[in-house]
Parts: sequence; structure tokens; C-alpha cells
Amino acid sequence: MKNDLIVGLLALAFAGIYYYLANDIPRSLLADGVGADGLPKLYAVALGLLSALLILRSLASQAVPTEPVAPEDSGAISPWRQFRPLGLAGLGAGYLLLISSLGYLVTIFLLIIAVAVYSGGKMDFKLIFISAGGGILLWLVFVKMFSIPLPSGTLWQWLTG
Amino acid sequence: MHEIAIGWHALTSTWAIPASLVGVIWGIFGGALPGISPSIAMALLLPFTYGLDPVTAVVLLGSVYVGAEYGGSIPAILINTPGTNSAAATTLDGYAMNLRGEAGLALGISLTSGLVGGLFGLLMLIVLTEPLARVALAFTPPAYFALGMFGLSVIASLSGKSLLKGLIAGILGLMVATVGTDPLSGVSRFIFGVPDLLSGVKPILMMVGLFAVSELLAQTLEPAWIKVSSRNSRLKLPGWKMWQRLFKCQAIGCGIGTIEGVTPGAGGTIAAFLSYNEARRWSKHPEEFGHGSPEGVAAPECANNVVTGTALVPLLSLGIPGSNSAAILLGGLLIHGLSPGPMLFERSPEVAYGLYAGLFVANIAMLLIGLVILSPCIWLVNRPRPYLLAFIFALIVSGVYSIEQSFFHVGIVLAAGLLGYGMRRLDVPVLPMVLGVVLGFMVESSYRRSLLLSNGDHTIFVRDPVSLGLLVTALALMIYSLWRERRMAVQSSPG
Repeated sequence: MKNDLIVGLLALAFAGIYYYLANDIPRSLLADGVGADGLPKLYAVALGLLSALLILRSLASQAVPTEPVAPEDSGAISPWRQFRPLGLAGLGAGYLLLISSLGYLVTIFLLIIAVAVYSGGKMDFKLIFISAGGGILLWLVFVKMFSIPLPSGTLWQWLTG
Repeated sequence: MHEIAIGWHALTSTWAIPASLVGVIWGIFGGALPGISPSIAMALLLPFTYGLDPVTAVVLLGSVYVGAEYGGSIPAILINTPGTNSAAATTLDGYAMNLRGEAGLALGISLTSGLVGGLFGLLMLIVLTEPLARVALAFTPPAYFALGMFGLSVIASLSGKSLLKGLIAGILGLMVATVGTDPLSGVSRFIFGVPDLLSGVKPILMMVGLFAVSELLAQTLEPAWIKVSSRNSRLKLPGWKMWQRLFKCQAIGCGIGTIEGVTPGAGGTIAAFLSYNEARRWSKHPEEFGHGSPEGVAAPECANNVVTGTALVPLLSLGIPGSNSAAILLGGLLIHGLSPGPMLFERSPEVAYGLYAGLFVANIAMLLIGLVILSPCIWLVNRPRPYLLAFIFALIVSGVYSIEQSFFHVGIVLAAGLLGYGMRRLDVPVLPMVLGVVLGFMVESSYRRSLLLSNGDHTIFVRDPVSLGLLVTALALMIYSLWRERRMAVQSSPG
């Protein structure tokens, strides 16, 4: 039920922000009766109502006395550990930041190493070797086989003049 | 006969046959890896389909679906861990057969029952889709709006325990669909000065993010899966007497798989468990179920493979994806500018019939490949999971960039992955959001066009008979789902 309250509050806040932004949608001379802002505002109102219902339901279920809840089982995740996946997304963001300067081959190699270590892999020569192999395989598939123009990187361009 | 000729030509004049083989192999490997569902295995290949012709692309994706349903039974039988959700019912008796030293036979039963189910599902797909699609040819803008609402009402059956959360997810998807250029007036909405958003958020990016990336993020918290012993690597096909014994439960699997597959929102998992229950009810040896009954493996595996065909019926005929995997296949069609639904058979019949032919090849290939792929599958499942996660993550970021050479798209996928992970943690179903993204454009543009036609009169939606029928069906589906949710809540409450 705590999840429902969190979802309800987040969705309600989002509905408010979305409605506020929908108000800024310009009105076109070509607009039909509904307009470009019509359905977005309707969605925001619907989301607000559903969120409110969810919040009320969550509060109502918390107010009703229930059987004592069994202690959390061993499958439960500690609060801090739940944010661990953010680190993986952060590694993806790091890839995006570095690829233009270091180039695809080097960056994908670093990404594979970083994700493997972050996921619990041991940093050793085997990992470096496998990451290099994986990076080269992906480079061959995307750059050579599919001719995708992935960046070679300003570093490589500087090195090769 | 004309349709067979179109399908044969589509199959032989494109790369569909090799794509079918590659798709089945990829699907079996993907399905064998716990956590990689058929839809994720398909989503990983979506970016690659950009450079393929439409027939090859949809055959590739469809074949992955076929392969993954068998692949999921491999760890289910060998290590009591279903590789896919729909293989969960297979663990009940498959693992028990393994403990009795009959793992090879269990895998053989799974493979052959999957073939029976897959071919039956394909037959049902062929028989049911076109009549339904012909009805949809009569659609007007109000009918398309009602069709979109019917598609969204599927959210009700996809929402699991909470209809409210499912509806919230659906509306969030509709909101994402409003980003970009307004379909009627051309003004830009919610682009925040970012030119990449002028064309909106592509459904494929949301699918890859919400399904594949969110799963990878969640996997960082999961314990490593158990290693598989390679001494179980010899598959054994059932003999004639066993085939006779399995006939009834396979028939049950075919029937239930057809109904559950065609029903949007039901899917392979429900079909598998229902088939297991009914097979036990009608079995001559019900006491064996749960202790290594071959029928307990055959029934669910047959059912979940029937669904690989029948789940595509609402997609191809009406354009409504009723499952995660159907949504991914829809993404494959949208990439090539194809709209599933009635016009697919009119404008691009080679795609539809080519898909039928490709799925036939895929099911036969699944049998042949399944006979030899067990050892490589076991090898792959036994690789250290950090390496697998890292490679899949690298594959995703590379594949997404290859769509339109845009790093902004990679950023959207990562953001969608984070959103999808958050939704999982908060028990908010993801598929309704995907439905909203996919159907949002159709719902809005049809709604506004209808009102333009009627000068703002909303009764146009009830004066059109097709629209009225679909709206009533949508309402009935919502009410039935509400009733079912309440009944489940009452049944599971103590006392």
C-alpha cells in the first residue's frame, strides 16, 4: 500500500506539471474545435483524478486495522541497494559523454568492463580480454557489417592527424 | 492458393528463411537466459531490423518469439528456474522429471509439444486473422477511435492486481504520445526547444527502454542463477506410446492456448497454467502431476507455443497488440512504415503472408535446431552473469544508435529504462504504458477527425455501428476486469 501512495503522489504531481505545460501550447489558426492542447489537458485531468483515487484508496487501506504483517522476507532489498540500478544507467550516460571524444571502439570496450565490474565481475585480465573481444565484435557488426557511422572520436582523429 | 503463392514468393525472394533460423537460435538462447523474456529478446533485435526489408524483419522477430518459448523450458527443466514467465508451469513437472533422471525426455517432450502448439497456433492465426481484418476494412474515423479505446481497455486485463495503476500507466503512455507535432494543426508540443523531439518519441525507443533496459537494471539486484550441469545435455524424443499418452493434454493446450492467445492481455503464462490445470483434471493419472508427469510438461509447453501464433491475431487484424511480444512485433512493422490492421492485407499482403510462411519455417526450425542446441545453451547459461549483462547492455546502446544515428535516442532509451525500473519497483505494470504510446496517435487523430466530420457532435461515436460495438465491448472488458480484480481480492483476503 505504501507503493500505491508513492505512485499516487508522483502521478498527481506529474499531472499538475503536465497540465501547466499544456497551457503553454500555442493555439493555431488551423486548430479544430479540440485544439492541440485539448487532449493533453484531458489526459492531465484524468491522471489527476486516478492519482487522487489511488491516494485515497491507499490512505483508506492504511486506516483500516489489518492482520499484523509478517516481517519482510530475505528477498527484500535494502533501501540503498534499490538505487544500485541508477549506477548502471549512469554508466550508460558516461558512455554518451565519452563516445564523441574517445570514439566508439574505445568507449564500448570501457562500457563493457565498467558494467561487468559494476554487476559483480572481477577486474582481471580475463575480463579485459573478453571486453576487448566483445567490443571488437560489436564494432565489426555495426561499423563494418551494417555500415553505421559510429564516431571514431576526436582523440583518434588527433592521433592520426 | 493465391495467398500461399504470395507467402512462398515473400519467403524465397527475401532473406526471410535465414532470418527465421537466426531468429529461432537467438530466441532459444534468449529464452534460456532467466530474465530475458521473449519480448526482451525481440526488443534487442528491433534496432537491427531497420536495415532489413519488412518481410525479413517481421519473420526475424516472429521467429525469436517462437524460439524463446522453447528456450524458456530449458532452465525450467534443468535448474527449476523458468527462463520465461510462460515456462513457470513447466517447472512443476519438468524439474521433477529431471530429478528422476529423465531430463532428456522432459526436454524432448517440451520441444515436440512446442512444435505441435506452434503449428496449431499458426493455423489459427491464418484462419482467424483475415475474416477479422475484413470487418475492420469498414472502419471510419469514429471506428478507429473506438478501436483505439478498445485497445486501451485491454489495459484492464493487463493491470494485474491494480486496475488504477494500469490506467495511470496507460495515460502516461498517452501523454508520451502527445510529444512532438500536433497531428492536425502542426504546432509543436512538449519539445522544450529540442529539435529531436519534433517527430515525437518513437514507440520502439520506449519499448526497448521499458522492457529491455529496465530488466537489465533490475538484474543488477538479482542473485546469480544456478549453474546447469552439462551431464543433462542429451535430449530424448518421445516414442509412439508417449505420443499417444500426450495427445489429450496437447489438445487441451491447443484449445486453451487459442482462446488465451486471441484474448488481448491474456498470453502464454495464463494459457500455460490453465492448460496444466485442465490437463491434470482430465488425465488418467492426475496423481502424477507435480511429481514428474510427462503430461504436466506437454500441456503448458503446447499452450504457450500456440500463443506465439494466436497472440498475433488481434495485432494483424485490428492493430491491437495484446501482449508484450506482439507490441514488439508492432514496433517492427512501424519501423517500416507499415500499419498493422486491415490495411496491411490490402497494401502489403506479402508482409502478412510472408510472416505466416516464416512462422511455419520457424516452428520446423525450432525442432531441428532444438535437437542440437542444448549444449551451447547450457554453456551460455553457465557464463558469468556480469559478462552477459555487460554485453547485452553494450548491444542495446549500439543498436539504438543505429536506428537514426542519434545519441539523443540512446538517452531516451536510458531514461525509459529508469522509468520502467521505477515502475517495476512500485508494482506499476509496464505494458499499459507501451499500449498508450503506441495507440495515442491513433486515438487523438481519429477523435479529432471524427469531431471535424460531425461539427463537434459527439454522438457520431454511437451513431457509427462499428464504433458503438467496439466501445460497448471495451466497456464490458473493463467491467469484467474490475469484477475479476474484486473477486481475486476477496478470494485472497484472510477469512
